[in-house]
Amino acid sequence: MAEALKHILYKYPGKEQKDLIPILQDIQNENGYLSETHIQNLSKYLKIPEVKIYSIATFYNQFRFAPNAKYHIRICSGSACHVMGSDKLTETIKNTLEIQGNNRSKNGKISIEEIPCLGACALAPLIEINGIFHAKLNSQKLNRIINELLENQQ
Amino acid sequence: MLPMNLIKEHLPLLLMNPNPEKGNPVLQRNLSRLRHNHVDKMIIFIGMGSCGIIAGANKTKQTIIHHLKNHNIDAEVIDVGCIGLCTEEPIIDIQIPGRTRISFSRVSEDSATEIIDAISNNFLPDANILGQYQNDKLLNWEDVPFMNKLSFFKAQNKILTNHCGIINPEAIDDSIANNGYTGFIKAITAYTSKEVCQIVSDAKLKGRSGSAYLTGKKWIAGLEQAHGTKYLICNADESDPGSFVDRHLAEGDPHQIIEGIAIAAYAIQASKAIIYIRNQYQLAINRLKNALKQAYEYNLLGDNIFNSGFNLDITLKIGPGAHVCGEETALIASLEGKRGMPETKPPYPVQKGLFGKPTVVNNLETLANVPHILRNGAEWFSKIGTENSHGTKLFSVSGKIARTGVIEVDMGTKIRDILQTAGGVPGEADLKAVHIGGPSGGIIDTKHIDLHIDYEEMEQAGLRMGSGSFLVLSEKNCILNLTKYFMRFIQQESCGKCIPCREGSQRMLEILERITQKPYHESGHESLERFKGVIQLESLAKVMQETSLCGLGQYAPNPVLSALKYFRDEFEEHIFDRKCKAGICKGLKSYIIDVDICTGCTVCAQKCPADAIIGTARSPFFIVQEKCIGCGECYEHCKFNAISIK
Amino acid sequence: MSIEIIVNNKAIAANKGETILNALTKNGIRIPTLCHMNEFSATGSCRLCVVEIKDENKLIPACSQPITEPITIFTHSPRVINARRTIVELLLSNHPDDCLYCEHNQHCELQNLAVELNIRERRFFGNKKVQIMDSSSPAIVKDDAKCILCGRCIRVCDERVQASAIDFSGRGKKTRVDTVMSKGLNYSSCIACGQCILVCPSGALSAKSSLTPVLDALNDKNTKVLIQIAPSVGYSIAEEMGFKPGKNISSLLVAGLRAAGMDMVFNLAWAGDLFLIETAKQIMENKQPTIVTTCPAVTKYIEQFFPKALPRTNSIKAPQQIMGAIIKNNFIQSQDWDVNDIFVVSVGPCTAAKAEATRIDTMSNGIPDVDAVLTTNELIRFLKLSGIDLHNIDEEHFDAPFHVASSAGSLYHIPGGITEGLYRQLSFLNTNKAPTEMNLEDARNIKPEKDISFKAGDKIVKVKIVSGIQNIKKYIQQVIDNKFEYDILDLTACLMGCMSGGGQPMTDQYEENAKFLMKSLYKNDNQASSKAPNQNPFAMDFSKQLHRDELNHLKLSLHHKFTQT
Repeated sequence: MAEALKHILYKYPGKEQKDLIPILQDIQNENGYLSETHIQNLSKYLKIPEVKIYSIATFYNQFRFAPNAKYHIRICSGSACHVMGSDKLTETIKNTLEIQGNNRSKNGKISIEEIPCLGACALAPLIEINGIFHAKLNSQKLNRIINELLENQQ
Repeated sequence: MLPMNLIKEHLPLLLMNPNPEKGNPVLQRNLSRLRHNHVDKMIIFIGMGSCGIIAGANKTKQTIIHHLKNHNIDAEVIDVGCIGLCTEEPIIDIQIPGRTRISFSRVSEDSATEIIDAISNNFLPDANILGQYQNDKLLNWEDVPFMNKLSFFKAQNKILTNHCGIINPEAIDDSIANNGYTGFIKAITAYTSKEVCQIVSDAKLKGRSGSAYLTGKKWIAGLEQAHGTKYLICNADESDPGSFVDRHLAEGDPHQIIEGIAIAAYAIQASKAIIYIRNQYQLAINRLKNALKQAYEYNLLGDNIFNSGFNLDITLKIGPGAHVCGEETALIASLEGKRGMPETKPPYPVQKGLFGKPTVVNNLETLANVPHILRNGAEWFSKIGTENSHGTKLFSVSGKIARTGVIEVDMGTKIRDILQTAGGVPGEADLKAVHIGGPSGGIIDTKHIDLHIDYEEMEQAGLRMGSGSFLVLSEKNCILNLTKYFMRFIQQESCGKCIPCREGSQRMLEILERITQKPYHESGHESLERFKGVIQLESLAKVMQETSLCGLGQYAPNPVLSALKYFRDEFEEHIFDRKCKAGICKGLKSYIIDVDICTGCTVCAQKCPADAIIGTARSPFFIVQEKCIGCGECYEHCKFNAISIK
Repeated sequence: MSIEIIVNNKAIAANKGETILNALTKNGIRIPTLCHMNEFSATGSCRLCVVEIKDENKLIPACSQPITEPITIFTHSPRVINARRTIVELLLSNHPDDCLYCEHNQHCELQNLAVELNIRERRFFGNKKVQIMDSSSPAIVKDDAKCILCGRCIRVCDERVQASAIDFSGRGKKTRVDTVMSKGLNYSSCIACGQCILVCPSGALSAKSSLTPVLDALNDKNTKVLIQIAPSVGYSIAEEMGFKPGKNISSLLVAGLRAAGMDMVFNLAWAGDLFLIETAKQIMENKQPTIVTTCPAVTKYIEQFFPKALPRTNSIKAPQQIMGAIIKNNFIQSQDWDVNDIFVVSVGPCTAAKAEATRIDTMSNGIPDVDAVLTTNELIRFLKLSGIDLHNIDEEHFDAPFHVASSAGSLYHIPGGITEGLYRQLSFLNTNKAPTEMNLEDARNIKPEKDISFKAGDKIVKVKIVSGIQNIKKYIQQVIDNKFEYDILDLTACLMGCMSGGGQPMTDQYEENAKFLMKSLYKNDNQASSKAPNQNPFAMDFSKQLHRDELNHLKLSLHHKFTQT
């Protein structure tokens, strides 16, 4: 069993299927994403077939199989934000930053994620970039933020 | 500072009799302080709910702490939850000895220091004063309105949210001083499990997740299962967009929730309880974890609680993110480490739930009601609300509304009154509609806003209370756009197990998209196709409602059906007139450059994020409709008014 | 406890606690189902079996609803029919309009439902699934565009076969039947047993077709096409070719294949005999392997999941590969043919055999011993395509030298058949005569596990016969742990033996069919004149030659080189 996972797995000595999701959460919190090696090691530890672990991980929103890019933009697409025009923001972001089908920019430095409800409906519409919130956006403010982001990338 | 363990030392006394007349004067004084009847020095309460933090409360807090340090001001800073008035965040309250607690809104880094200096010198600053908390034992601030008389709070009946934004959610002592856990201790010392079930049953508490199932009935069924391992699950997987009442409660008063869970667990004789909470609610998770730790320290959880012989372990499990896990069998599957897909019922979770054991799943808001019912009795609860719906309901109000936040009103309140409490639609736009209950809820027009918040009345009107999301729309919003939004949400969150939901929601979404998009060529036959689409919407909706495996699919057609009921003319406008009055459906909107006016200044082309404008400098430009995303940038930047919207 | 329920205005008796579907089926009342599989618990996912129950405002799925009180049910009310039609229409709206070109054309449950529910127009239209075709496996093709996500294949692979190669990935409309990390069947733990194909109600899963290379070879004047037929094929094709089900039409088939242009037609039972001869020889010399199998899926399974058991597994290849190896390395020399002008086709009920023919250890100098493997299904297709009418043809015999076979050589398609063959052969080797009792009656049943012991000379041979991958696991582990209490472990992957293999004719009665075909093979064996490999002079003779030094490289080519994955 991979040494790398030992410190996580020791917390779950029961080796039961019910521990699968908490373990995956711990692995992702530490590594930023889940890799095939993680799945292989976990399969041996829990004695659950690899494809089953993959099946369970791909069902949920939280898990990803590639790390987020250097700049990760989370766009709130809750209903309040939607009513306040978050659709337009998303389109602008996607177009200006040339976001591809895999939710990444062409140069791979920016990734986006639409998430339902960040919990700040009073500040709709809003986005979060690497932990920093930008609230009550309109197209002017957004363009400024995007330009800043593009400059930071150079 | 509060002497260590004072509350803990006197815990049994306090819990059995929250208002001891005789006794330890130190205890009395500290209780008084904890209840904000008395302070020894300036205390600054900072609203640290998620909304406050996003609005900048952390920065405000840091500024305050530095200011206090730099000026050697002897004051205490306490984090509190949110009072529910999110638009006014960051909010800080200050209480100085002898004076009432006074609240300030929109406190930025700049105004924070000003406020502190003013109040500490006993005069009012120029900043935004929200109000003061009425207290007969303390001197009022002049000309400052009382909080409970503000239009936002007047119509509310803050029972569950009473402590949110007032007490420190990270201090169990604060909670206990304000009657926390007294309901639980009463339950386990004065009543049998059966009697507790009976009390909640008599109170006719209904599940707040939208199912409106009688909580007492569920508990009785749980109690009747054979003795052995049983589970009580608190469903805190609030993932309806626009719904944040559970978050509000968990961040503001986590001990209330733990108390509710504990009473419920005792009622069904479960020794294990689980809180299943969304991973996005990081602050709530931290507060609950902290609260659990403290409860264990006080032997309010664990083995032989208060020598009653009742054992209870509560663990926190973090949901990996799937809206469908709000459904109880899907939630249970997720806890078992499987894909969160619902199972057929029967068997019901109460018979065969988590790991095959009897399991009762209750919504967080439902459980938050329980301590109050135990403390004050079933009859007290029955007097609040309507015949069919007892108690209060929390709503998270958002959208085109002046005051976004969480409000708590008696059941039976009119929608109109909620709108008024929330300040109505801001600006010059008119109210158009209210959508209640999120993706499984329904929409209502202005003619029906005298409808009462009541399970039965709303169902008859084609609405569904759901989890409490209250979304306000103005004339600038398009109803079809909203129904599309909710259907897209259902599509993304459908688990995919059953055909009616997985395939049906996709087709319904496509029909809605066809109605709101421009076809490439228009013929009379196309509009007939669109109309057929509406008929199909209704027949598909019926099959989805009747045959879907779980509530997500069964209620998915609700927004569309209610929209068809109350806004049929808007549908017909989109279908036949190809018009979206609100100007939202960009497929029905064209931006056109008038070649006679356009000077070829190239500004629009530069601003266009979709590269949809072509032309050469000093010649009229042209917008390629197929590429246009309808953002309106060109329109906003054209200095010559050469662009019109059709 | 019995409860009376009213179904379509008629009273029927039901047992308390049983599902509505069960009660209806027992009483001969049929309702359409899709995701339901006998012997598997109900998932209630397709919703096709919904029925109307009085006083319930939703429609109730019959497969998962237990009967607990007297209820009134309508199985075909207008509301129910409308719901069922809508559900199938929704499926069809997300399905390629590909029937005429599909492998499963006319053998498709979705087609049957569309007919039963009288679906006559495309009411719903919109975006369809993106076609992601997985043809990485040499044996099985998965076409996601046709998948209706019923989950049957997953349940068979996970709960029954327990190879756990596939599962759902993603959620909602993005759900797919997928392999680990979406890297395809060939990368996964799939053993190509093809049980998933047999349960697929639409055209999503099918055996990889090898018809085209066979037809190309036939069309090439310079190529000689040699075809070898597995024992049960002649029985399995009878019904589809218009004969009495289970009738042995092998001699007609031989004639038909020649008429279709095959240069030589060989009898794989001959190789079955050789397999038994060689294995019996090992037993006589006390050098026998513990695990004895002719099943390519079992071999792959052991390589993948229990590599430690490989040293105890028979290295002798299965009959298909034995014959291919002999043809390419020995036979063609006697005919003075160039190996590049030869095309060897093997026909059998097995999809794993397709994968087996692509193994590196079944090639010599880069040339595969078997060039193409056709399933029974493909053979039927081939005969019809070639216009071969087996009703108007005279019987013919297989070609020498692989023509004669004892009936024991045909038994390897039945779980326990190898054991019976060994028993007979060992009797001859020890006593120089046939055993008094030719049959091992204890082996002749459909139980997944059978214990047999027989005398061979002065020792007792104890055999454990197991079929079904889910059943063999624990015994393989015992072998590894040296806790196995028998001498031989006789294994087959498919529960009902080879005649329930992934390449058999498509029918939802495939298990019943397999049992029926087994009976036919046993009947043939009872009536055969030579019942032991010892009575096959050709195979016996070949075996003697094989052990001469100059044929050593040929002998080696008859053995596997196992790879541990």
